[in-house]
Amino acid sequence: MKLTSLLRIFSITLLVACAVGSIAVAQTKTTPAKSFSITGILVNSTNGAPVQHGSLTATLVPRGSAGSRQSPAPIGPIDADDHGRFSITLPSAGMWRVVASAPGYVTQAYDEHESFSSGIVLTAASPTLDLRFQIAREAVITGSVLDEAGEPVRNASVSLLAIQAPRPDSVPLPTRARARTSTDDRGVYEFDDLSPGNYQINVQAQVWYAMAAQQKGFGTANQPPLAPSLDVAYPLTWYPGTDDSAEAETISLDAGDNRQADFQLRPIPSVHLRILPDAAAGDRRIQAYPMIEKISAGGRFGFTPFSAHIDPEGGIDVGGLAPGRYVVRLQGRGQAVKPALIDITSGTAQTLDMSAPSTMANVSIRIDGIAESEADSVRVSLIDPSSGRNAARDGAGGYFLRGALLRRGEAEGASRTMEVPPGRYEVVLMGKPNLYLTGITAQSAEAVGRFVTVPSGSSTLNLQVADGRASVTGIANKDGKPSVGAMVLLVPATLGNPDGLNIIRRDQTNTDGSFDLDDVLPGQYILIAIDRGWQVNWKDSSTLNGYMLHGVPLELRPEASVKEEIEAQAP
Amino acid sequence: MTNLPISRALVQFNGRAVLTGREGKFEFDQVAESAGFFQVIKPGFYSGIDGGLITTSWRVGQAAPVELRLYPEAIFTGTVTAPNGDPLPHVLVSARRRDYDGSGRGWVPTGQAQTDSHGRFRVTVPPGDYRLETMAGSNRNASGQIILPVRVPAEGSSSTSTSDSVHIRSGEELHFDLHPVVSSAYKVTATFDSSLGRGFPRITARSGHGLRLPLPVKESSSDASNVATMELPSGTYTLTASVLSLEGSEQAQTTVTVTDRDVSGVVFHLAPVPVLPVELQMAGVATSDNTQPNLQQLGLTLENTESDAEPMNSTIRLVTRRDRTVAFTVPPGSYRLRGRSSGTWYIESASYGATDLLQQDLTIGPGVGGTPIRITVSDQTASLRGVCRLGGVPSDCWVYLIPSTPSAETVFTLHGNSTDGSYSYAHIPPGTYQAVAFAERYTADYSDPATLVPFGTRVRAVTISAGEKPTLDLDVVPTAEMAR
Repeated sequence: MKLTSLLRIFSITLLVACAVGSIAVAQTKTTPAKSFSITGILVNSTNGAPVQHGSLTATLVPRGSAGSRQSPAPIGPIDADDHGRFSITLPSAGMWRVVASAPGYVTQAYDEHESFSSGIVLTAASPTLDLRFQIAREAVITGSVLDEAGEPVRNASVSLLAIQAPRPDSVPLPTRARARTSTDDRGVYEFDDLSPGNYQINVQAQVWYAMAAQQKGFGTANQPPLAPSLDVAYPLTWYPGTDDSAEAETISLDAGDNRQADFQLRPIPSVHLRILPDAAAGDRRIQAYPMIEKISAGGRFGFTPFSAHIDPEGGIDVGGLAPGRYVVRLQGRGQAVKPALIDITSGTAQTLDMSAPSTMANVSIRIDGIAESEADSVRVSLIDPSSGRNAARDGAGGYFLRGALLRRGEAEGASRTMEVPPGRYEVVLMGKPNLYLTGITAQSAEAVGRFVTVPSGSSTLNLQVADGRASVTGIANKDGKPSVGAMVLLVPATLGNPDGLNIIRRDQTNTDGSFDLDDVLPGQYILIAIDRGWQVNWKDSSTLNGYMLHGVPLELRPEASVKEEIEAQAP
Repeated sequence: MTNLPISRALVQFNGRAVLTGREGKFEFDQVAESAGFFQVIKPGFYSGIDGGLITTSWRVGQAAPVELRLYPEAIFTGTVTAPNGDPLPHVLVSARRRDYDGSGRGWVPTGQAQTDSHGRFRVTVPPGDYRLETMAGSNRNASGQIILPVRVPAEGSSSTSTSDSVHIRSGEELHFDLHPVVSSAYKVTATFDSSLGRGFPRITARSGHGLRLPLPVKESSSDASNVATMELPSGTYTLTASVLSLEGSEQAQTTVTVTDRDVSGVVFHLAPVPVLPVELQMAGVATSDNTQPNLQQLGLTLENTESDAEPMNSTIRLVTRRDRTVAFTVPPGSYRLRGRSSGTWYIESASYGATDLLQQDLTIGPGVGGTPIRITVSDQTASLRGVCRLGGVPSDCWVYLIPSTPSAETVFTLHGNSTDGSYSYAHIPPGTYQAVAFAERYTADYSDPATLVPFGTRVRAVTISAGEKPTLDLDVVPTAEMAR
């Protein structure tokens, strides 16, 4: 079962903009003809010991029609007793998603693997089910961040990234931050509630005395130059202490692990950037304040604190920057926000002339194949395949500035433009779940499959979009019985072909062996179920090929709704 | 105060900056200026004794070396645990500092932190008087439960200034183990019997035990904008909804009882919040030579005197309405009027009907309004001057004049001349005052008589009549005696 299968297909984007926030007011219907219940015992996944102070909730999962995605209100919490035993009385048959929490444990759904779990299916024929519900102790990473003198660094921003093995399909690695926190007065941070897995940590911090020494306001006052020992910055630092993300250590956590990851930051000379405002646009008169955003390999878009002074010639001297790639925006009165891309290297000061032609890629996007009115509601994202980060959203030239400065009106009609750093992106559609991309043609850019490479300057992408995704449901059996908790994979037959369909869809079977794959892109697939298969390294192509030999070929036409009963393979 | 040297503090002087060395020493060479200012910064310290940032003046010829002083911050530490002893992680703990700005007082959010996986928290703050509170939030240990807020000192304590706050000194650590109630929450659905227009409702629930819950309101759907849903544990509550609209504020109150199940059918009947126009007049004897002030220059506020007033409603400011008249929009409650002098003008009297607002609270019930508040100003002021001395030597000082006769202002503050120790008030209202001088800025609740008790021998009483220009020399309270 995958409650958020629709979202998961786009989980690579940071824009889970779908209406997750609205909570439906569900009045549960009473008058149960029978008594339905889920009973069981809550145990520690490592040693099988009963879990104390646990509690559970059960939520009815609507099945079938796509219209019923709103999830009803959960029932509970129901407390487990001191021996971990619990009993949840339910008002109806159906598929229930049961979630357990306990202090010191990771909150988990039943038999949860990654983002999948098994739904508990109750019917009139089998109105009760007894579960052995395993939950993992939370893992914790703590550490301290000290400066070059061994003093604590306060308010350092510490990011935790979940690292995943590469997949054989084209879904980019979601290396976005799993969590972010700040250090306290002792320089101490903590990440708790962590599931077992592989993680990396980085720290971004300001050198307090450099920031304080330069804090003179955004004035034209003539300042004596700062002593070099105070004109410094901390580079983005990865555990155990490197500014090169390739040298970051991956921390492997098992359930219940407590790990320490300490940092000592070393300042480096800060790089100065001199921004020359666009004189023609009148920037000099109104002293536009720049916004500087660092683009890091960690997939993070973060505004960078810096100090700025206007020199007598009207240039803006920006200090306190560490080397890296930045997007600089300067907005004059009545002007659009104008982004410029710059790679800042250590050493001498660099100059950014805002009146020079932009080095950003200015991409016009046209949507074909569907009605214009429908095209208006489609949002197009360009995803950086190396980071999984959404580089831009169409029509949102000032997407970081909500409200008055937000540039609107660019998404009118079926054409829209977006400004992104030049590079290779995956095109992802959002907004209408039923739509899918059938092809891309490009002018002044390159398009291969769903991937495009856009250069500096103007280019155009024509997206061919079609309506009608398919769905696959069914039952996985093993030796004549339902295979519970099996991993189900729907593998495109064209996997590995860059022009073809490349997204592998997955699900986990429920307690009756059933599985549901919604919103599948039409095409040719091989359907596989692997009994107790969650330890199988499906990301390895040759392993996957072995299972595909015994899979079920499926041809999914637009809007097809296919039911399949399949035999689960041994792991 | 340890008087120990502090290394790696940033000392700034006229735009230049250095870090102090191991013995706390710093040096600026080739100083061409004849005067300037020092500022010193270090994380975890404040340069002002009350937690602020101060500058130290310097003149050529001043005795060397210059000594700059830093005061360590204070810290609240503690734990947050459930009634069964389980630590509660990720609970937001907030410290609100009592703020005295001369014309009134309020609670200013000053520091906050989340509990860690062991339920521990650390909130660093400048010294002062505080309330420590945990925010209502969902329980990460059990979905579907909410953690109710707790406060230190406990909610409903007496409203005297000694017990409604916790005092923390520079460098001090105070530890509190907090035990909020953890409870299942139920959905409460309410409707407004009139359109909200573009307004967004803010709803607060108050239980019989004084528990106050700001409720995150969820609109259940976009096409039913007059419906609000919220989550509450079992109990009986007074719900207050406030909506800001173009026409002014509207408010509604209703009660709801939650008993182990979701509740619907709660109705809010919105009514306009009472509007009290404010009128200004000159005292009969006032000469017209001085430019008359307008009401906005008098810094008029109404300060809620209920100790558990919602922080957002604790101070009400004047608004100018479309017809250019000036008014207070006042939800039902009890208030104290505060204001300040403007140039040569001071607030001689203030009244609401028969209530003397310089001596009595303003009490507003629902549905009243229309009756004006009358402010009378006068320019018949007095002046006061003198010299501050520390150990007999003229000294830099902060002078505080605290009226003991009815006044809209609780304290008149002045920084003396750092060169010769002299001070001079040009325009103060006639009346009786207590006068005290401190070596540094000393922010405190001067409306509380207990504030001046420790400085008894140095506090001087003075009565000044209109037109008089008396002299009053003051004995400065040294920094060492100011530590609280």
